[in-house]
Amino acid sequence: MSSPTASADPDSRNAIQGRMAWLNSRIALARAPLVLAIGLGAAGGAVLLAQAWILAGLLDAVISGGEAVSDRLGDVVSLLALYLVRVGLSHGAALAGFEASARVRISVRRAVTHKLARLGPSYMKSRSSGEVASVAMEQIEALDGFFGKYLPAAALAWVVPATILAVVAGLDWGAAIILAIAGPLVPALMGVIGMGTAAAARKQMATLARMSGYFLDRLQGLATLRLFGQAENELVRSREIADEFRVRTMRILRVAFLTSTALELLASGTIVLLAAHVALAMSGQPLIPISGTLTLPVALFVLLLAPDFFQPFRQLTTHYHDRASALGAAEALVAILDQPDPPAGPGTTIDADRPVAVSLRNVRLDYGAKSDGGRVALDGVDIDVAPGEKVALVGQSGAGKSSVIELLLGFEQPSSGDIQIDGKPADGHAIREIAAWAGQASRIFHGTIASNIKIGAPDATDQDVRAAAEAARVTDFADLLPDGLDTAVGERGHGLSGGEARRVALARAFLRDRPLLLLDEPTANLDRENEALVVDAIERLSQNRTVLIATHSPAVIERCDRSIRLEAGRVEAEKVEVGNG
Amino acid sequence: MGDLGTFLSLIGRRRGWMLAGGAMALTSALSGIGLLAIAGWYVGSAALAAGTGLVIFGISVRVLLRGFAVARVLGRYAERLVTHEATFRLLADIRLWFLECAIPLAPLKLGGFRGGDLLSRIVADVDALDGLYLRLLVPSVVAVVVAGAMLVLLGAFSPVIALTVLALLATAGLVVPAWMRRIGDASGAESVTAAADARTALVDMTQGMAELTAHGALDRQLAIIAEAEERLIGAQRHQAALAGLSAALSGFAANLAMLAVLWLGSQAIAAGGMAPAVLAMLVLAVIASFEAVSPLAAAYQLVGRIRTAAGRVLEIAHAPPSVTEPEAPTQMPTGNDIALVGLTARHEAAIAPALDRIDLSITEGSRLALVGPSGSGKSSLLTVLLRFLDYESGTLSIGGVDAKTLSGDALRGRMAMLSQASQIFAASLRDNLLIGRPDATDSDLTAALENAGLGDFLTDLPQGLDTWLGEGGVAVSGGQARRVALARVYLKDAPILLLDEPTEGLDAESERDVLARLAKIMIGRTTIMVTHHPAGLDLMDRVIRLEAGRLVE
Repeated sequence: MSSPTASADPDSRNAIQGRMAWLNSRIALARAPLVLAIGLGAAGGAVLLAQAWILAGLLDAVISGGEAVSDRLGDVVSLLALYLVRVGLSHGAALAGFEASARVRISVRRAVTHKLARLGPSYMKSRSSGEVASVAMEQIEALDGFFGKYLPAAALAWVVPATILAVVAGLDWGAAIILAIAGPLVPALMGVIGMGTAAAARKQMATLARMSGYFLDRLQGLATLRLFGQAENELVRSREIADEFRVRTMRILRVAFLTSTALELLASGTIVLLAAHVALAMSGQPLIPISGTLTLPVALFVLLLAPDFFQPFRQLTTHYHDRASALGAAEALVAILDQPDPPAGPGTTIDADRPVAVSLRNVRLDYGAKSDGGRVALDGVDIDVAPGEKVALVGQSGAGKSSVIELLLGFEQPSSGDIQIDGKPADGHAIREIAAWAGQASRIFHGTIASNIKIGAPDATDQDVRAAAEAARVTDFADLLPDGLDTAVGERGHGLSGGEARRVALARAFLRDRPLLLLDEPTANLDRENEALVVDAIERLSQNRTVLIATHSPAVIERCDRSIRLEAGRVEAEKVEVGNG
Repeated sequence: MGDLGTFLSLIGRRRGWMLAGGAMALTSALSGIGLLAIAGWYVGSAALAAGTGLVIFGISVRVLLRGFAVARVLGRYAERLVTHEATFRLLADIRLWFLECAIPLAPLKLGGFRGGDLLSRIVADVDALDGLYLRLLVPSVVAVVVAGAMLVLLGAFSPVIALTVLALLATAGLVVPAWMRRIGDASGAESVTAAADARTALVDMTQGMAELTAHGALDRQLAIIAEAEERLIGAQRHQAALAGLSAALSGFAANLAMLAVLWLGSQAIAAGGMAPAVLAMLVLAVIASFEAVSPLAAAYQLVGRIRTAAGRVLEIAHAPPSVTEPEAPTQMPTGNDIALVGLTARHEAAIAPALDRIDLSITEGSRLALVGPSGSGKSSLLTVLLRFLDYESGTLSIGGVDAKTLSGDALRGRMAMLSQASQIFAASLRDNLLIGRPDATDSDLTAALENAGLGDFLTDLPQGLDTWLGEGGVAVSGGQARRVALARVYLKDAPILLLDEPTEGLDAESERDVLARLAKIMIGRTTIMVTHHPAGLDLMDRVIRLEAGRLVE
């Protein structure tokens, strides 16, 4: 089983540069905290120099002067004070880095979730909700290291070593030359070793998203797997997925570890060389012959600075894989953010005071391109519903009944043709404002039964909610629960059966109280008794409203003014049923 | 940390990797101390000798230096590789174990937990456990060994220095971590729950996009997500601030230790009790030892986070299953007669029993219809037969054998079920069908699809049996899903057929078609059908009615 999506090579130079450009353009969101983080880090570097100078003097006094540290209390106090200053600075820098990351993450998450909201149900239809949720959660969290730690570290990897180099050059040219040769080797080393990391990180992110999608799907289907005795077999597959994630993660880490090992080797080699140089220079025979004779405090100072020269590089390698992770995450994020917004309609608003006329004019709807398995859902459909009319959409599963309703709600955009309300073109946004809807699958959200009913009418009073719940027969089961309509449902709440969820969805439509009522299989999963009650309720709700119901139920069809039969995306026959009217 | 005990026992399963990682970590930490100590001694001697003779211990010192340097660098590389490999193996183990524990909970006990939340637990919460071995266990062991080694090394030269350093090491390795743990617990836990809330709200949005869009409720859902995110960032900010504080405190302890050694050492030198080179050695060794201890403070700050995540994983893993499997299951009987005698069963939350003293016998090959209003116990009866719901009194026997003595899987092996919930997995059509019979050939699968009325559907699919269905693939309508489930029933070829509203939600034509196909499958099989439609009742031998959990013929 492999993911069905395929696209242009995501590891090509262009693709990576595109993702890098996207990451870089996010920097503007967090410029101030980033500048602060870098500034505080640089100041910390300056304090480091002062500390090393004092410590070198103290060591010299102890080693060659034979003094006791207690005689140089001033040095000890300044060292501790400087240490506290440096801690304050680095703490401030870390917090500023966190703010930078937080700002970027908040802004990107806002952009992604709002984009998903604009793309709507049509986009989600062809995607794994677990994967999309993982993009908006984990992959945005994966930007943290890049903005919070990598970017400041990358800037400091220039500033701090350059400052140390300048200071050392002022004291001893020979030592400066050794550092000046070793320094540029670091980025070269990281570049060579880290070359494959971006691709590896992208694959790891994709594996993480796929693992999330897989686990969500299988956990939700665990009952079916048990019915067929296949749950244990699925563990084998799960082991493969979990192992793949481990292997991909390790592939990235191995590179990161190799980089830091190489850096440590380079740093220790340089320090050994430097030690040899200063030791010889003290006796007037420096390794690099342009140096003069060094005094012990200067030699110690240079030696003490050597590890600090490499420390920013070490910091950078630690966070180098954050850059790779961010690049990996950027792919999925850009893929969502780059989706074109669905076309904005004429932007009309519809007078919602009275029932409306609904027409579809020669409407065609394609799902996806024909070449990759797409299909025609509706093909030249003309439907006219008069104000206050109650029409049943009938036909086999897959004939296009639900598609008509999805088009009206703007979940899908017609490939051609017009949708009109009262003879004027209208877009889904405007229609949604005047419509109440209950769909085929009824999602129950994290919250209470009441809050679920209030989804389409947040300002409704408890009384109204109760009335709607009664009308949709929700109270029949809710009143048996300990907390009634306030019972927690949805994620981590009480589970509702399919029929109960359906009734909650109907209650939403009752409460929303709009002039156009769109119902998709409102009576499926209800027994005869309840079906009859709901049909009565729908009838009450239909008074003075325009109603379109996709249904199989003879009881519902019977109460409609007429029915429209769809077959394979076309209107088959439109006939006036002998209803109750 | 009682909660973590379970995970420590899981760690035990990877003992080899875990011990190897620990050994590498110790090698690298001790070599680091050795390297700096010898280097300090070497440089100190050289500085005093001022170039007159760099060779004091001669070659042996240089060899020692090189040996420690190589052991330090390579040990560090190996340590990171091995400890990370060990950790990720452990995480994969925990994920599998979690799934394994979740299986017996489905469907009833798992019903209280929804997809997004379960996903959080198996992905993010398990990930949060990575610190347990990597950042808590290994560094703790290393810190203890390093402290012991330092006590021996420093004690050989000066007991006062040894005790002073030990006190400061304990401050950095015990006091600061314990303090960090205390103030980091709440925000660590909050970061886990806030992330779970954000994920729940995100899954609510991605799975409920249609409802939210239609009801104009997207803005409110976005606000819920933003609110959870704000809490998450707040908790992370607190954790980041603490991380800075703990690094500062343990660094301060290291600086104090270094200065204290210098202070005490210089007095000893002045008194003629210590060679200057030894002081250089001790100072550098102390610096190296703090490097080994300092990660502990930040690590113990994670305890709150790890514990909350562990608690969330264990909430599922330790939940008692709805049905306890027998220790040594009896052999499955040959016959398939089903008998219920005075059987009473109850769903946990409900006060009234779902099934109340049911007496019912269903002989092999007979056909029974169960009718009655919603909530009368029809589906509960099927759930009891499937051994997904236990009964509190009375007996259930299959082929004359008490069902409680049989293995649930073996029992369910005798049954095929078609219900209104037809699960389509995000997988290929082939894998979706193979659930019915894992060893079926492609021609078996094609035949089953034909029998289920999906012959044309298969021909129309772009990649045939390899076509990806469900989330992320070809959308399957309700009617098609039902037929895929029907094809699984064909493939399973079980002697007992359980039908739970098998034609619910289908149009009249599909309903007729599915019933006609079911009528063929029923031949020679025991059939129990739950329905509230008259359609299909003519296929049955006997109709019984349930009301409020009681049989009313």
